[in-house]
Amino acid sequence: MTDLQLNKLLKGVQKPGRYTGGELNSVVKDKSEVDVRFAFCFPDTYEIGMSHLGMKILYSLLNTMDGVWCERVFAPWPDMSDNMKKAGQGVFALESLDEISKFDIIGFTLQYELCYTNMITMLRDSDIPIFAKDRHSLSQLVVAGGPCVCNAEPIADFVDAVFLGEGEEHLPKFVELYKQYKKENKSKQEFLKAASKIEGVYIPSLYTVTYNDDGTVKSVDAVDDAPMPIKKAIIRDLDKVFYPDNFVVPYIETVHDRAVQEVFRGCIRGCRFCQAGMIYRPVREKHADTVSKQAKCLCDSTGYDEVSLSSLSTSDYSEIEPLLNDMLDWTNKEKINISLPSLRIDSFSPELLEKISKIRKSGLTFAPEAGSQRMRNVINKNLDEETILNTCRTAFEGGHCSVKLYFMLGLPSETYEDIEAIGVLGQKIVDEFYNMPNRPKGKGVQVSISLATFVPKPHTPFQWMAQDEIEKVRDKQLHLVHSITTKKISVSWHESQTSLLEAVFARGDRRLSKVIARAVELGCRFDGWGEYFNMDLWQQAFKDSGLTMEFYANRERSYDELLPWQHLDYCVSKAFLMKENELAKQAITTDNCRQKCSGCGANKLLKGGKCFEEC
Amino acid sequence: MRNVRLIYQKTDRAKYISHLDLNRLMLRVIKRSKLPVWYTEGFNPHVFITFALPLSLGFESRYDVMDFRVEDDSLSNEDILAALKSALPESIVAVKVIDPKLKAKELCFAQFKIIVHCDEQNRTKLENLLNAGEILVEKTTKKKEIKSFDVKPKIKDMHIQTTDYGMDVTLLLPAGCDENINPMLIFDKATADGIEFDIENVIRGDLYDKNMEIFC
Repeated sequence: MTDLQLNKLLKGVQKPGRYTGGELNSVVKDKSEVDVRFAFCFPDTYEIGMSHLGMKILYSLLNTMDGVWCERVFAPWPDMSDNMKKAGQGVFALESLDEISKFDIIGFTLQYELCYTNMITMLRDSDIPIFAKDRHSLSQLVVAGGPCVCNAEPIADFVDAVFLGEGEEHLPKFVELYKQYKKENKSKQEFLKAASKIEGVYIPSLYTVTYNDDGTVKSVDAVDDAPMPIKKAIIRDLDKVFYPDNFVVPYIETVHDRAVQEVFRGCIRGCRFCQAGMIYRPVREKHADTVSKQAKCLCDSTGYDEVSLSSLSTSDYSEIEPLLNDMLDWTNKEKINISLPSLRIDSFSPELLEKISKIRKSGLTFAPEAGSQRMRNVINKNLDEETILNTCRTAFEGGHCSVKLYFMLGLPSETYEDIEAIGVLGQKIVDEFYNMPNRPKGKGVQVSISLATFVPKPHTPFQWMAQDEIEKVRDKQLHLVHSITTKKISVSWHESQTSLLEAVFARGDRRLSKVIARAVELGCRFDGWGEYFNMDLWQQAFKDSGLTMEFYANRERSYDELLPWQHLDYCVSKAFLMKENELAKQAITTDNCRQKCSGCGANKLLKGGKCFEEC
Repeated sequence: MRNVRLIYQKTDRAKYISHLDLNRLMLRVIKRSKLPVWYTEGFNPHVFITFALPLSLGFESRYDVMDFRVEDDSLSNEDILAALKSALPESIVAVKVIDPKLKAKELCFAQFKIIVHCDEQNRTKLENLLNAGEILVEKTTKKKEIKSFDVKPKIKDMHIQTTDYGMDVTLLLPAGCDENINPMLIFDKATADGIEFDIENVIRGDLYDKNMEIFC
């Protein structure tokens, strides 16, 4: 596509900067010197995709490889997509403006289940056959990675290869092998067979699935000598792993418009609903001086005046105090802000608060997830009311006067008393503010409660549990709203219909591929966006495919049932997940990984089998 | 500390950077350039930059103006230009750094070149519209009311050049704090009148003061 053609497409399109590329630090290579062209596709908008750290890392990493050119591709918003369709233009990459159908490898990162229709729409609109079996040549190889592929089954029929675990480990090996096979003119079948031997690479077409009469999975069998189970790949030493020294700097404002510095992977907390806390095990930290050095390098090359320290739970970082001390030296001098996302309430010490308050006052956000102590014990969110109230008091004394709290509805064994406890906790926080003797005069307090619907996820202790039906969730939402009597507390919630669909695809099987294909035919896209999500179309798609959502979402499964993702090994054992689920039923908590090893099995991925030096 | 003025051009795909995004982009450029610029002294200190005349989304420019302050007086304009050049993305071109003579409010006119693709019949229609004694256009006021007014007397100068693809129209229009006329008002009117054409590009050229001297 030429610039002039692009100009025409952009007529009347919202935020044209999403489609024009040419940003600082984007990589343009000479096509004649490139052997493998990789289209890195994020199946959502530019603003969301460009905020994603994994894409930045893998984009830089692939572009360091000789003869490999990785470009970025995002889902065009419906206004642009319609213009493109009229002009016969397929989805294109931002660096070369070439259509993705011209690429060797088309890779999708799947961050949430509701982007599946975008992935298929992007392929279809580029005239690429959506089912893997209909693509015969080695080029146009469709691959996928990201957290959703820990159950890749719902998309298994679309993709040629799936990456389990951390991309820095297997993606370069995979691309290198591809380069060799392409040079030798080998077939797609030959390549996939060879690629299946790379650790963490799952080739769905090398496995056959059979079903019982009741719709549950009967067996998953490897064809020939394909590995079974397929084990995820991880980076063992985070200090030595590749980290980009620059990021592509978007022109338009993105969701996270700042430098992002990774601090560690994994999480010591074993919250029982949390998939990230399970599939990214074991915990591996970067040293404070590595973090500080890499963060400084990023700020220098991008010009950002804000850097965030990113991980699943940054306040659990063992070197947080030395790190902040070190970083504040240069960030203060260069007038750069440090932002700390996802701070955990119980490690929010006054010293740390003091240090953060020196930087800039940002919003105070906590995630107690459940209102009653019993419920928090069930989900293993090891934090008590006293800690929450103490933290809020410290924050109020530091000048904060609004708090945002995240909760989940529909957790296993939840009662209406547990739900009322959310409002009671909110009220106690309000009281805490007014009990402060030296509170700021003329200022009120605002507690915002945000409710999500619990989605049981694969590879978690709750993977067997049922999700509440939509009517039940709605009733619970209303029950909470009615139980709150003050205007100091506001309640907002997510649409429970999207949570239902999420639950279906999170724990779905291969038969869902045809539902997704049908939904795309019917026009489903951007399902994560309220203005485009259409439940009626989805219901139609399920009906047309002879499947129901309830089978996947609202049914409790037995420990004996063969789960569709059981052959995908994330190195957290079934025995551990079962034990945790049983403890949940008795509302008994489990210590965090640093206090005591709970024997999940992920330690075997590390040399010496130790997650921490002291254990 | 002294005031400096950067003259730059927005070219190619940079025309899709909105004014707000350009503002953020320039802050990052200054940060990368490591120039010792002056920060505001408020609660959240930030780099102080101002733009003489914001540009509409989709327009290129050949004489854009950004002012800021440099703490170190020993730096020459050439040093500053070199530092900025090394930090700017490709499609934003630094032309020169000068000592500001005029204030932004002394800016009065801007020249626009509109590259129009159309057939001969529609070209004649467009020419007739542009050459008429009165061009009534509609503008949405700040109160969201639609106001109709004659734009013809506002056009300080106009040239029409016939080309093989259609025509190039050069307009000199009021610009600055007091009055701004967007050239698209006239072309939107043409579209509303049923004239068919495509605009390939709009390029804002030189900026002038009230005496038609180049703004500097």
